[in-house]
Amino acid sequence: MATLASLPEGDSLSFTRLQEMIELSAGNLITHLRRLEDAEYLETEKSGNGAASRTQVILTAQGREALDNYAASLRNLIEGL
Amino acid sequence: MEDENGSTKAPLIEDDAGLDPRAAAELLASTKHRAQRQFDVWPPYLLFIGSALFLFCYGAVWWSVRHQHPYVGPTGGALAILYGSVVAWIVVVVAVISRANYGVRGASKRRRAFRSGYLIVIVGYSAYQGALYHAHASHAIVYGIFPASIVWLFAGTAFVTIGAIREELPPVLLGGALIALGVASAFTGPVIGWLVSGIGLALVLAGFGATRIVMRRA
Repeated sequence: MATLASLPEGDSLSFTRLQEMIELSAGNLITHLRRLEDAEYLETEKSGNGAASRTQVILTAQGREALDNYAASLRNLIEGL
Repeated sequence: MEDENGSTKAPLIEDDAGLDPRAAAELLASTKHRAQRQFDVWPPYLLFIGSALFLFCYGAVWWSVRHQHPYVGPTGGALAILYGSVVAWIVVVVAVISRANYGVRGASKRRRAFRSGYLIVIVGYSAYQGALYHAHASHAIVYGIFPASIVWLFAGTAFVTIGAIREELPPVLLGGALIALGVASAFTGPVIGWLVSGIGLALVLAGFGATRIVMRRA
């Protein structure tokens, strides 16, 4: 989510590039993305069929807000330590 | 969800339930910084290389005209260095932008594509230079003051316009500085104007690069 949040709002990133950037296996990434999609933190868009298919991943406004809240919570926790 | 390879099942990475807040915050920050670096279409190293490159090529043009009385314009060799540097710079910038944008879709990429429309302006200014020559303007104007300073007026106008549209002060200030540089270059004449432009461009690019480093660390 932090990687996707580094893009300007409304921009999407291909599954392949995201996988390269965060160095996760395809299977692990799919599982994480599915969970985040279920939570409506991100959306995926698939185009094409078969070997030529491409998946784009985009952070939703809700996801961006959740990440900001998470970062703020971490800051508060650290300040309280 | 299925990836490009058709893979649908894979082991799940363990949740980071035991991660302490400090480590989690560091991981979040480092992931974000790394992503920002990889998406950056104007990495500082590129700006510093550009700064040195343009200082060198504008310096070469100034060197070729510094003792001309009357002024006839830059030599072929100096122009070859200048245009070769500009072409090399454009090739490198396009390569960096393509790499940063790989896999990215959306409004920001479309905006960047539209910026290639600036090429039309460059062609237009070159044609205008031809018109000055056709009107028998002096060599000092056609091959000195105009080419050495006009790029700043153009770039400054573009930045002021961008700042006005986005309601952001930094581009307006940068645009104002560039216009001032263009005027200063024109006032210093066809010989010193090249040097003023080279130093000015080097300072702008190096300053832009330094600002981006500071912003990254903030």
